[in-house]
Amino acid sequence: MMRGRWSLLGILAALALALVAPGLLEPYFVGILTRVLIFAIFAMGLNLIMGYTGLPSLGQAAYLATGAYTVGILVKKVGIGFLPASVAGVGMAGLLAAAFGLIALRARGASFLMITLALTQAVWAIAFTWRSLTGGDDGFPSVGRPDLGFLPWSLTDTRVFYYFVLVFLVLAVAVFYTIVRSPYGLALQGTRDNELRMRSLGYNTWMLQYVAFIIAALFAGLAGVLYAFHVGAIAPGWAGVTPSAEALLMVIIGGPGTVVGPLVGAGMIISVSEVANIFTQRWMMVLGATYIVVILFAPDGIVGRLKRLMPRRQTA
Amino acid sequence: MKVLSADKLSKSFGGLQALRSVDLEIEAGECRAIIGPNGAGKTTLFHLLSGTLPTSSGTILFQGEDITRSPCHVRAMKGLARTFQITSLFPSLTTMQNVILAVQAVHGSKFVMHRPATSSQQTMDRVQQVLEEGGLWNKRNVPVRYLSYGEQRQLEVMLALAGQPKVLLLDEPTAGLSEAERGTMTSLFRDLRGKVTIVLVSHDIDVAFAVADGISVLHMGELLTEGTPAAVRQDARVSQIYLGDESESAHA
Repeated sequence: MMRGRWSLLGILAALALALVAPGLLEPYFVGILTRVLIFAIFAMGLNLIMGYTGLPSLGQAAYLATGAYTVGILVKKVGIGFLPASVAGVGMAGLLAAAFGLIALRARGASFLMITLALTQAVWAIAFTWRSLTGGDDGFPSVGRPDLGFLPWSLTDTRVFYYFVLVFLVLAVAVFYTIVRSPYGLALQGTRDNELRMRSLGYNTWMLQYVAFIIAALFAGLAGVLYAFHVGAIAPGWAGVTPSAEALLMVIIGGPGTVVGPLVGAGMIISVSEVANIFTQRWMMVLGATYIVVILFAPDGIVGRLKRLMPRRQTA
Repeated sequence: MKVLSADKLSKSFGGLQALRSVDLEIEAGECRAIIGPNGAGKTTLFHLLSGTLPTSSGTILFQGEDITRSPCHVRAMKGLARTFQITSLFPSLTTMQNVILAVQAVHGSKFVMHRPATSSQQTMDRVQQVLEEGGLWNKRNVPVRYLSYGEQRQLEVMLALAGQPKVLLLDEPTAGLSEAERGTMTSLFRDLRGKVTIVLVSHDIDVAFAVADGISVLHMGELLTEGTPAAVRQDARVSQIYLGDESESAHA
């Protein structure tokens, strides 16, 4: 059980660090850290279909943007409360995935990547052109942040908002961990390894993948809602290639098929691009170099690499 | 009682007729071998029965029910299991996880998300039973890609049997095995006789003659003859297609 103990220690240490970090950092950095937490949720969803089910997607941004725009529009234009609007935002992302999944899951591999990308572009085009609803490329302004009601804290405080997001991240990790260890999670991994064999064991693999595709979108939708609160405004670019590609990089660099990989990946990608941004306009190049180095020395991602270094659990 | 039957089953790939109006009737509890030289249509017949290829014409009945258009996974859930010629496992998962996947499929927990896969006593009891019977219990935490080829072939059959199917379709079960491993497999199939109906597709005629109660011989996409092993062994046409005459001897 060496590995189990190491993992538990690692997780506790990371959580402790996440709890004390805002007290030690300038608000600017707390904001960056908040973005890391939000993108960790986003990348975790992608990891479910990519790392566990074997469906790398370039279309997760569609659900990020759907979650964000839905909550923005419902709060500002329709005027309903933050809580139902947020639930609707996550739900809309799931509904959109239920529709897009019917199309995208007819393909596999590179074609799946291309179709998911194409569908995202459709969402981007709607966000870009439907100015009366989304504000087009001016962006959707001043979403605001929810009021915590009877609680004595205000989410407008950067540090409070950080902890607010942290709560959702911890919940998301718990849900994710439960799913991947469940019979369903094992079935997803079986489908990733050998789809035909799964079918001949009696699994409707299409349905397994379809459900995973929707769950992944729910994670993306939640990330979108939180990101709308965090930034305060929404731009059509949220449905563009960049967030999708960033999530893909986070999963690959962190370690696909591992629970904490995307969290490490999100921290890595965002901190590298932030630091590089200080020194050069060409931060994308630094990101690319990071990617190449990780793929060369840790093809299973950073967490995948660490898992190999740990002593394996022996047969009981 | 007939458990599996094919009626005028045909399959063509473009202009090529791989299978021509084949009739097949498998009795419950029987062990039937389907043999024939390369290109006879054995593998095509296997694909049609297991549902991995669509039928061009004809019908397939399983326990009196028409399954001609049923997808693979529906047939599997009805009790029609299969193995693969090329070992087809879940390489990154452990031996135990492989068996859990096979068992939980029939225990109806495929979409259960709220509890660990190992938490169902019913599933885990069956998993342990399967692993112990197959002699792989002490390798249960080993990822299957580290098992020997013989162990992988054995696990291949164990996965198909784990769900307690009514009919087991075996695709070239002894392909690529050593003499000793073939012996182990043959005795495993002998043990299974009577417990599960077996349809075995093989061009290893020794195994077919050693385990089958009945043999169907395919040649050029058609059913050449069928009968008891003794009768088929005597059939001059069978030895001719296997041994060939002068012009085909290079091929044999």
